[in-house]
Amino acid sequence: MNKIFQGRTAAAGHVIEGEAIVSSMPFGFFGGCNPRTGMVIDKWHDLYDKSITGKIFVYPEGRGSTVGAAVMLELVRTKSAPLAILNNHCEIISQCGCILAKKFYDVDMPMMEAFGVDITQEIQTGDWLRIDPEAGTVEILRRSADE
Amino acid sequence: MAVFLTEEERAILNGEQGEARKFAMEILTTVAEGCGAKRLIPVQSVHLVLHTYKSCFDAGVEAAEKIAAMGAKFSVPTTIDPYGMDAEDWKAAKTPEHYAHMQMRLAKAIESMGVIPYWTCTPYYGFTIPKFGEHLAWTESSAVAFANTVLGARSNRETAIVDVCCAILGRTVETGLHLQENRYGEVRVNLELDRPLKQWEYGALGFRLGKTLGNRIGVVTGMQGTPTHENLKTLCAAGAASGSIALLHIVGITPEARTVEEAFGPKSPTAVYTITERDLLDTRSDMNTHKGNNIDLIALGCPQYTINEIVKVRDLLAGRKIASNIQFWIYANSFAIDMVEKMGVRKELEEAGVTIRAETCMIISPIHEWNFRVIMTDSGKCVHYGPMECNAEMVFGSTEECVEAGVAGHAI
Repeated sequence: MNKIFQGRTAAAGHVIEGEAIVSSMPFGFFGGCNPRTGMVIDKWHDLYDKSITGKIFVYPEGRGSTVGAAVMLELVRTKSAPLAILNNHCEIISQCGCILAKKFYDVDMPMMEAFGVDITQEIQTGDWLRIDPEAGTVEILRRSADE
Repeated sequence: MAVFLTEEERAILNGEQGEARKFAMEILTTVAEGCGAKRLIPVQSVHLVLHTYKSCFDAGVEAAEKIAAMGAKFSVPTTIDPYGMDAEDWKAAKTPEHYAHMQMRLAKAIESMGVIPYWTCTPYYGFTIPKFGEHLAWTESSAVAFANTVLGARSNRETAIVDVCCAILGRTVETGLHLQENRYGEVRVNLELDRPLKQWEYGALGFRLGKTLGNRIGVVTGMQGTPTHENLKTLCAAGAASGSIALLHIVGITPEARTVEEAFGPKSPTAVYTITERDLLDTRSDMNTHKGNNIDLIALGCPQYTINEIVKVRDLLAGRKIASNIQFWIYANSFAIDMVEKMGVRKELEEAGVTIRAETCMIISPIHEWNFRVIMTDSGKCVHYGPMECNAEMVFGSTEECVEAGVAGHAI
């Protein structure tokens, strides 16, 4: 029986599957990552020098600069964006980034929050997830440790 | 739950007021649905963060041009964050041609919509000074923190491109800090110093509060004396960069915190922290990513320096000159620069070896072209972003220490 979390969808999108990258630290996109490569450049962050491109990016909440949504849009334009974002609490900056991705580049980057548990503790980097934004569910299909 | 729209807002969404307003309304209503807001509310002013090629990239320029091409016009007073390069002389500031070209494209698009070309991170010193209780759609994390904390105005941390939509419509989403129930304190921070803070300690306190609070609303007790506007500007900027502070209550100092009881309202603190003099010294040590005493650049003005701060540097120099092995730059907006020119202070500073950089800052201009390895600053915000955005190691100190280091040619 796979573990399923029920949350709230802050930015819509299609059902997707992908690999998780998880941090227990808040994240800000400006100064947080290189928007043309998806590499984390924030030297104060525990994901420093890792890539978020094509991953389901799990962190507790957004932080930092208000220009974040433009950085996210550049990630989308350069095909370096994460697949989806899961937070304990979505802040409006990254939520807007996801919405603008759809509006300007017709790219789905769903964002979900409020799972009733600390999602950054429940999911581990490398876990394979299935996200259904319409149903508001996140399912762990395969644990990283299973491999 | 559906978002309630007025008759006019529905007409805008149906395209009855043109393509640009329809486009902006589609984005704002989607954001409103995403965060569960009930409605949109009018705002008195907007401050944009779609301002520099360095942080908006090609995607931001394309978005601005796309919206401008729809014939968009701003409907409320709208200011904008600093220019992406020295506005007086971008070539002398070693700005690459392509970068300058893209910056000018971005500026042209935004200016066509009717922005007040006040390129500054401190719009609260200017033409759109918020009143207590007024609703704003502001960006620039430090300005949002200042407007909420110091002025008691109400703004969320709006973001790039959505800010342009807010300016077009004169509206934003009613969520977060626009609602009284979300403005009360959540966490208590007891400051245990039996004296007023020294100038550098405001930056260090902000930096530490940002790390400690994240996005929770703190209620700080025990702050002695009367901090200046500049002290609070420094504190807010550091906390908004190292964390997500958008509103902080400082009991006896900020307007929604005349008492502890008022600051917490119906809420009780979920955590209590203590900050001592020792903690601020430890924070200062953490802020210094460079431990040696060599410095390439001293960069002041993050947020941009006020007239008072510029004059203070002149006074601290007291006729001495900056050492020839070091660059010493002050970032300021056009308003402050005009004034210090009229006062003769700019000339004095330039003769002493100080460079005034106009309407921009170290974080959002292409400073990496200079290959500075070590930057000293009096800004907790600059310390946070410097390693990533300036590609340099950071040294933090008071303004006095920065000036002394400038004269000596190395940190003291």
